[in-house]
Amino acid sequence: MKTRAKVIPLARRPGPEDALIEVDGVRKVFPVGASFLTVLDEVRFQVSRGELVCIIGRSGCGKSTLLKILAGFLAPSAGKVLLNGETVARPGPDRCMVFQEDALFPWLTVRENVAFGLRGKGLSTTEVREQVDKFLALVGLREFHNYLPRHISGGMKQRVALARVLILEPQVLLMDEPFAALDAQTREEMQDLLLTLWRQLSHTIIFVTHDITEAVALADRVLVMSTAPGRIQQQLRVELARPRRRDREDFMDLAGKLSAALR
Amino acid sequence: MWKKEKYFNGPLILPWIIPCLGILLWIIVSKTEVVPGYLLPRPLEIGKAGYSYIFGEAGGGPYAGRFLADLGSSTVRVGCGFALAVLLGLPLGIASGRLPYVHELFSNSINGLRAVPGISWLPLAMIWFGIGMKTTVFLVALAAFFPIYLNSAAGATQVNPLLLQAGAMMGVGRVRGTFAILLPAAMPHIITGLRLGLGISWAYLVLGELSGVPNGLGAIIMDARMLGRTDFIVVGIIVIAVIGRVSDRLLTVLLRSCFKSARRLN
Ligand SMILES: Nc1ncnc2c1ncn2[C@@H]1O[C@H](COP(=O)(O)OP(=O)(O)OP(=O)(O)O)[C@@H](O)[C@H]1O
Ligand SMILES: [Mg+2]
Repeated sequence: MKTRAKVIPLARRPGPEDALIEVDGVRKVFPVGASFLTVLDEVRFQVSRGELVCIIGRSGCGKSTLLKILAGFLAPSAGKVLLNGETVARPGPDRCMVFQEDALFPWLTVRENVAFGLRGKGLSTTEVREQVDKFLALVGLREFHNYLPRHISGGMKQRVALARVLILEPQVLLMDEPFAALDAQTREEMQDLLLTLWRQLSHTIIFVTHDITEAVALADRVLVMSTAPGRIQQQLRVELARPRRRDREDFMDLAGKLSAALR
Repeated sequence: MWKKEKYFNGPLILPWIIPCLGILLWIIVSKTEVVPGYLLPRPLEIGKAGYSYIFGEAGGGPYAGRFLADLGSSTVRVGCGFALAVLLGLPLGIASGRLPYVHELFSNSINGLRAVPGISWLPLAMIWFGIGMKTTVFLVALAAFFPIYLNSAAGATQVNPLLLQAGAMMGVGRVRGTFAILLPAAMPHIITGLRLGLGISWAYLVLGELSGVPNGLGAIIMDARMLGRTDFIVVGIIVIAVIGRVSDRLLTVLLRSCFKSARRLN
């Protein structure tokens, strides 16, 4: 009798016990002149291991600020961020950020940029080269390894930025509107690339965007932020099967829902 | 691309146009005898004087064959003074560009001292150090310190904070962050500071050597004045101009061969 091996996905509805990241009542107040600006207030959410969460919100609602707190670049005014149950206090290679702007080292080639985080880790030159080659291939930049950042396009720069953090195998990948500056075509390519890499490497990703289509295309779950002060106003689970077609009706339905929630 | 080819010979010829015009003008002026020869010697006499200074046999005329020895002692003075300025100015500048406390501590005093013309230090330096090596090194170091300090500080201030954040998130510590991110990112400013500093070093070398040192490129200028040899004054001026330019090129080449960031940024 022929039995068909069937991979049964653990029908995991990630609960609080799997939480890799816990954002607990985070508040951020900036002094502005003589007064204060409350940018984030009582932000509370969790992200499970392996999840791809998108955060959307209007411009200026505090998305970047939230991500900087998660990365450890900024300290929250109140509340805390836990990673594996431990409070995040400073930046570290377990939480890597792909910035909205170009943040590559302009005096290093693509290869040297990708290798940067590996230096000082006690790897041999050969090991470093193999690792770098592997990740350059993953983001499709093998032929460009000797180029300087100023000689490659914006989309390629973001691929390098992705490769240089993926190579560190961070537990969490923080992405701050990484594809916002790209044209529509390139942006979709980059989204597909990100999904492929996510499937292969199963990172946990927190992806900030203000592009609704991008959120629906990528996310397991979308968090919608409100403005002034920024709060998580609504959560939406995206149950669409992958690969997702942007022109399908259910896709557009969801996008419509999110768009209404943002308004 | 076509533009580059069209002007292909430009970079080779352009830098020499002004020196050549200068010499031409000089020849015309001295031929017409508008200016008497003891004020402005003829180019030919300068050529002879320069030849004897550089290639002449020692004893075959005034200053004959002294060039190498003078160059050597002047270079040592400039080298020591400049090195001192770099050793102090670069770290202090970088630190005050990044650390507000260091900046608060030093910026007032340094900017105050900067306003004092170097020549007013000369009498004090002569009392402190006597005539010769030490005074000259002191003046050179003092003068070169300011551009190096100010430009390193400006470079360190203007480093894109995103690069430092990127480093921190990749697990780069303070020390490596300084050498692998901060200094390379500030490199264009640092280079500017070093070049300005080296340039002014030669100026203050002459000042230091004017005070009565027996040897050195500045010393022959002063000595020639006392002997009334205008031709050797001009030779001294030209030699210093050439040496200044050559040392500037050497500095740039040295930095470019040592640091990726010096090669690849700009
Ligand atoms: N260092 C700071 N000091 C004072 N105010 C700040 C500071 N950083 C951010 N803000 C303010 O916080 C608010 C949120 O900024 P933030 O950059 O987080 O917005 P955002 O959601 O990322 O916007 P965008 O989509 O345009 O990138 C803005 O009103 C901004 O002016
Ligand atoms: Mg932002």
